[in-house]
Amino acid sequence: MAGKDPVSLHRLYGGKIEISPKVPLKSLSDFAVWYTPGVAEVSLAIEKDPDLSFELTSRWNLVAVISDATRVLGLGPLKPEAAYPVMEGKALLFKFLGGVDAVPIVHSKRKTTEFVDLVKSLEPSFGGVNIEDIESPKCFEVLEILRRELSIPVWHDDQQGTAAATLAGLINAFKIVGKDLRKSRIVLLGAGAANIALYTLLRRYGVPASNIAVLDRKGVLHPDRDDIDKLLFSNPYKYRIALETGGSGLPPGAGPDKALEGADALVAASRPGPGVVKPEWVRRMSKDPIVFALANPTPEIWPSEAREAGARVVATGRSDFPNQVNNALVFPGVFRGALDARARGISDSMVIAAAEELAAYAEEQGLSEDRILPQLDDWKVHPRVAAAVAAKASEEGLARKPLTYKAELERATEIILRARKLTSLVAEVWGERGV
Amino acid sequence: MYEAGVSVRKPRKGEEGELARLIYRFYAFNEEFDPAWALSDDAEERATEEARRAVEGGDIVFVAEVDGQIVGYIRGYVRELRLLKDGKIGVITELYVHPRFRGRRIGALLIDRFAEEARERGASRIAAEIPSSNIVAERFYSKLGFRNFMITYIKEV
Repeated sequence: MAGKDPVSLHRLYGGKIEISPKVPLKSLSDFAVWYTPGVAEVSLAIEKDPDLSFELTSRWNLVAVISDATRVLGLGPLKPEAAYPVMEGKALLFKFLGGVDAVPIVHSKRKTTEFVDLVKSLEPSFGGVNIEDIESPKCFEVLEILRRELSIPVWHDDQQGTAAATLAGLINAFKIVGKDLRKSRIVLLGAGAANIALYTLLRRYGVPASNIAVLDRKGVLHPDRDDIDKLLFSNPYKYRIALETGGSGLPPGAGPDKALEGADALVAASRPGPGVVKPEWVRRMSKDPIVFALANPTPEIWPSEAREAGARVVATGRSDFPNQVNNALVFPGVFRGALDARARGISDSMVIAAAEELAAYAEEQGLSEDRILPQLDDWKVHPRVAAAVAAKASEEGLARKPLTYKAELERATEIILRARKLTSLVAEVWGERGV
Repeated sequence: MYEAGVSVRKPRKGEEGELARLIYRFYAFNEEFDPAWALSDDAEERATEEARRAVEGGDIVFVAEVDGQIVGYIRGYVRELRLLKDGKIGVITELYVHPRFRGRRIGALLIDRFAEEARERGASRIAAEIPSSNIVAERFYSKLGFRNFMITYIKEV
């Protein structure tokens, strides 16, 4: 199907997902159970104990994929309607990879408070919330408030998903070069959603703030920067990083050339290259440098250039190069595990558990410079992540229904295989016929 | 809990340069809140003059010193509303702590010292003037027990 005109294909099928029954319906009389009058009993039971909604309704497996369309893909702000096919595509991935039922929701509430209120009022319908394609720095605030105030998992892939996949890649890259990630100098180029979330995750993972330099277009985030007080208002997240890292020992105004001198790893998540990261900067890094150039569609530096400049391990966001750092390795399993454990939220340690599991899984299959992450087409990665996440949620007391690693591995495998079977059934029965 | 190594005292002669830089930063910081806060072209020179005045005395001025370096300051005066029973108010007009030294409660320490001085000058209350959209300052003062008292309206004439 790849290679065909996407608009015609979307028109042919009239979108990508649909809702179908999962109970065996024989006749209309069955509705006396599934609908009125029988359903009243179910309602009354839930009225007494709202947590029963996770047992007696489809809520346990239902996630809202919700966007205000302020930063759709790399296209900037679009009309909400225009963001819908993206959310629908994400919903398709949720089902195919994680066995999660996801509902696309686009809306016009662009103020943080309105966005947050909207999601909060929808909470009773869903087992989890995936916020998507929201501009920075609003995305930080929306995620932060929702994580605090909702008692279901809330996730923003551009932050946590990318950060977790990157951390997994870094864990294995550092194994290959034989250095300790927690004692190395790491430069994050670009201070958008991905790298700000990665910074937080690295800190939680145990990397000291002073080992991390974060750079935006104006150079290193530094307490002596001229615009530091303005950042306190325009982007308190960058402000906090500037103060915590103290500029990582660099002089105020230092750019990437200076910051990379002697650095062990670079994670660039800034703007499409090539030419954003110069080979001579990579040359000045320490021995066996690690270079992640994650911008799409073109990495900040071509992997071949980075390699020529001495990079030992190179990763990008693209599938046509080795070591693809892809959110899709993370979110299906994270939600599968969090939903199955009926987690009240997704903590940073659950995100780290997902990253460590990804790294461990890739290692089991044999690490090399070109194999630091699992392959995207290996479905078994998702039950593994789910098991690690559910076990961590249970250990932390965040699970309404605690599960062991082993129990969740079995459950997630079953659910994900069912989703894959359903998908192939549709293809078998209706083939490439439209609706 | 105050971080050890911070001392709060009046500014001394010879410290005008360091103080001027903080005064300038305070004004540059406020510039974004309202067009009425736009800096003059020679704001940096004027900051030096202000620092000189501050060292000479008159206003209530204190600086915070860490490792021999001036890292923050507070400035204000005592305002008297003569018809009121307790009409003397110590008004904080400027307060700034260098970003590198924030989060150590140096601002609170400066305010404590300011309050002490205001009391000595007959005030029974202290107040702070802040640009109305400075929510960070608002949060800061609320946390320290200040409440909303007066509102300043402004218009171009």
